[in-house]
Amino acid sequence: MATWPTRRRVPVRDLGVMIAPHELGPRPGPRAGAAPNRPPVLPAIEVAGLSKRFGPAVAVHDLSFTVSYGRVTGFLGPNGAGKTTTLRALLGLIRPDAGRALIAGRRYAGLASPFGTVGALLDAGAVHPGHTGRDHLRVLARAAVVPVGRADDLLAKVGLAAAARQRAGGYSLGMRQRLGLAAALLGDPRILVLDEPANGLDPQGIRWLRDLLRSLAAEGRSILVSSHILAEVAQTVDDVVVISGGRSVAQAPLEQLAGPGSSLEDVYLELTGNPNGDPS
Amino acid sequence: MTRLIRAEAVKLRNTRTYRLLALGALALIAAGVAATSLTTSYAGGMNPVRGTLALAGLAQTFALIAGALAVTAEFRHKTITQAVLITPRRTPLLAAKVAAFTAAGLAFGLLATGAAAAIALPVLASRHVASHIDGVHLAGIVAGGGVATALAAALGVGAGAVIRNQAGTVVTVLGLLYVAEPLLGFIPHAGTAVQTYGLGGLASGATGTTGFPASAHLLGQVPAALVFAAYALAFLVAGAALLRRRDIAA
Repeated sequence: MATWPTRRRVPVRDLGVMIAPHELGPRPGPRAGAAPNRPPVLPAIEVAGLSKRFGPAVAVHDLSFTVSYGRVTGFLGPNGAGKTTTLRALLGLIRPDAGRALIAGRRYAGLASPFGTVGALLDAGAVHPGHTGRDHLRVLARAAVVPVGRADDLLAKVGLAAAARQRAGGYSLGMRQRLGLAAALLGDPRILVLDEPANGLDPQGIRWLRDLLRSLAAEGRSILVSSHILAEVAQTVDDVVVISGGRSVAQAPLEQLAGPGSSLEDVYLELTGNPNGDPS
Repeated sequence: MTRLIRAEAVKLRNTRTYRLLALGALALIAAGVAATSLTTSYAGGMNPVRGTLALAGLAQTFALIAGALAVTAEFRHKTITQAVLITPRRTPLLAAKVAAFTAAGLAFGLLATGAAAAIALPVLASRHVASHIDGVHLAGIVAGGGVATALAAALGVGAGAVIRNQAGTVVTVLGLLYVAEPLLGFIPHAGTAVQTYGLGGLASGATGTTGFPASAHLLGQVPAALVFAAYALAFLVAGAALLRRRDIAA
């Protein structure tokens, strides 16, 4: 078990021991959702001792956390904290200098069916502007050997059916986020990794995203979602992982981090070393 | 592997840039061949057909650019991320692009060179310019056009994988073909090697058309195609190695 980081400045509540969410099991109540028939023993995501430098800059240092099935885990941290680097290392896109980042107990490249195991939305802009939303998904479906008809089903599911035959170059950021979510869901994965999926969504879109993530978790899927919109995170996630300066500063179920009298925002700002919210 | 080639084929079909490149190349070749065969006197011992069909070499330039775009567009639009997520082993990803674009290049090269011949021969005949070429050699030129264009597309894929930056790759390729090689060709002694073994000289050799300058000593069609293929392979091996090693960080 990792030691508690030195940067923690929150009053000691019930955070004295770092608790991996998967050790807690599903919470009772409406958020617990339907547990999978046979709960997997391994955590959906396990990051342990992960370190990565880009030249002289330390992006991530000795980062560890786990993410379990059936839960939405918020991945929080200031700009430049190392969130995107961590997610990319997890997905085999960048090579860590040390440590491991496992999905369903394996490195990404070692997964028998990577696209069917984990779906990812890392950058909503990652679409050829000359392709229609439908073409974009159909290319991915062909490569991933997913029935091409599923592309149309998902476009309807994310609310893009009417824009499916428009070029993605004309899509708003919100529409691109929806297209990215459809791409992430294409392989019907049990694990989802989403980097700032709420960016660019209007209030209806944010509500839609929250309901989507909750329903996916209720199906027993594991969702790791990074976000800056803390009020939204507080309404969506079960567990929270906070990193700052490339290091882990907290991991706990949401209700243990933010209780009565202290919002997630208060706790987050204290954890990341800026309790007054001053611009850094 | 088939699934990846199919995905590349969908991209090739649905991307307007490739259609525009193909149409632009065909229009330029047709206009150039028509104008040349209508007006040139073909003095100085140049074979009229081989000299005129050298203009169909534009197909190789455009295929080179299309192949480069196949890779660099993935980086520019960041679609490389999803591609690598679906296929974490990155070499098959590049191999699928090579397969799709080599096949498309072959078809396009045959079409472009065949169309050039279909324009040049009747025009030359109407001007009573003796073509001095038989059917077998003409077929060799058209087939060579197909092979050279396919190899150019493969070389473009390799160059794109090495350089990654879209504008950088296109400028490098065009600069090499149309500035560096012609200039280096004028260097005494060493210049003749550039005329023979440069990309332009190899493409002319592989197609059996006249090189630049017209007096350039070229390899035969098969040896030229083999050396061209070796260049393409070298770029592809380097590109695959770099693609495997490099982080996809944004």
